[in-house]
Amino acid sequence: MSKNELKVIARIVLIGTGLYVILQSSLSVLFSLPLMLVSHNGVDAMAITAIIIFILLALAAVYFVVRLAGCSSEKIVIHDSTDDTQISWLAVAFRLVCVTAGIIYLYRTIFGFIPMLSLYIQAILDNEMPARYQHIGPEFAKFIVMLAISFYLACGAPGFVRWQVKRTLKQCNKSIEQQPEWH
Amino acid sequence: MTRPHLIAKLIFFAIGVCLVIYILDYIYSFSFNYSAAIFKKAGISPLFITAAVGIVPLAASLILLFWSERLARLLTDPDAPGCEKVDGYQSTAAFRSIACFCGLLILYTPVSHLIGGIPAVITGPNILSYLTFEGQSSLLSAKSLTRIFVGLTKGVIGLYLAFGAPHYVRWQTKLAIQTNGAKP
Repeated sequence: MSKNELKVIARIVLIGTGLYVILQSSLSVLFSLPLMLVSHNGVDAMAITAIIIFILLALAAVYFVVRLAGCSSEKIVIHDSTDDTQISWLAVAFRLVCVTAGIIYLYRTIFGFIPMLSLYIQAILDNEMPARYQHIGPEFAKFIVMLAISFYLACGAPGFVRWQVKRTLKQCNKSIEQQPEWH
Repeated sequence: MTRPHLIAKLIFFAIGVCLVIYILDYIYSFSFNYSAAIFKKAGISPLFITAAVGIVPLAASLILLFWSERLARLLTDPDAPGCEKVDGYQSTAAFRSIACFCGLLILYTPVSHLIGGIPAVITGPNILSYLTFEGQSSLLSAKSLTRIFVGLTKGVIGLYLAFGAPHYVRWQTKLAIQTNGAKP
């Protein structure tokens, strides 16, 4: 598989992941729309403005995802010093897997924490602190650790990818040794 | 084995893993929303409902994971002329990368629960409140036990897949080699 083919595959996967994240976030906002309208006693100018801003933001996010996917695919398919195309193909595949998983981890971590944080802030403002929000420290620590794991994966998880490539090559060699008639 | 044949097998593998996770999520949500009164009123055993709803995805996942070769043969011809052939190396790499991806996605929930549970472990007796939904149920209740079982199973499956599912991939590679004949 050539370098350009790998770049195209990486770009498609990254754009797909980005669109998935945007779609999921849009759906969660859309599902909360009826509640927003009820709390505003119907459709008013503010609600319409918020919806228009949200649509514009979503479109901007799609544009940035497409632009960023191009730059990221260049970084994922880096030129390896080794001439073995199979090894570089393998490293790119695992790197792409880690980056995609990292983006999904980031989305789940951030979107899991934002509602809790907003409720916590609301509770502080209302001076009514429910029991479950009195211990936000461990939740914040969990958020930080998950964020660190997400960033590590989104950056390509170099150590993990190296280990996986080594293990895969070892497994392939073992299979070849077990089948002497191949040689 | 041709490339379309391998892609079909990879898709079957991914769907099979998704179904296993779906079953585990179903068990968890079932135990969470379980109400003995409703089942008594309806006159149905909860075990029957669990088996009836869970058996179809379980059978489907087993077929997709372990009979993927035969299923893929129904869709594509492994010796189709004009299609690019796949060797054992490519088969191993493809299966390992898909397994790794599925494993990483599955591991999110157990890892976040584990990290969330560490402060509870450090502070001592709070571990019980974490496992018993803040004292709402006892440790040996079906709800708590199901939570522990589902979390552990997901963790084990996720780790096995994230490490590349070596045994499963070796078996699949062997099948790919047998399909290809003497070609590695």
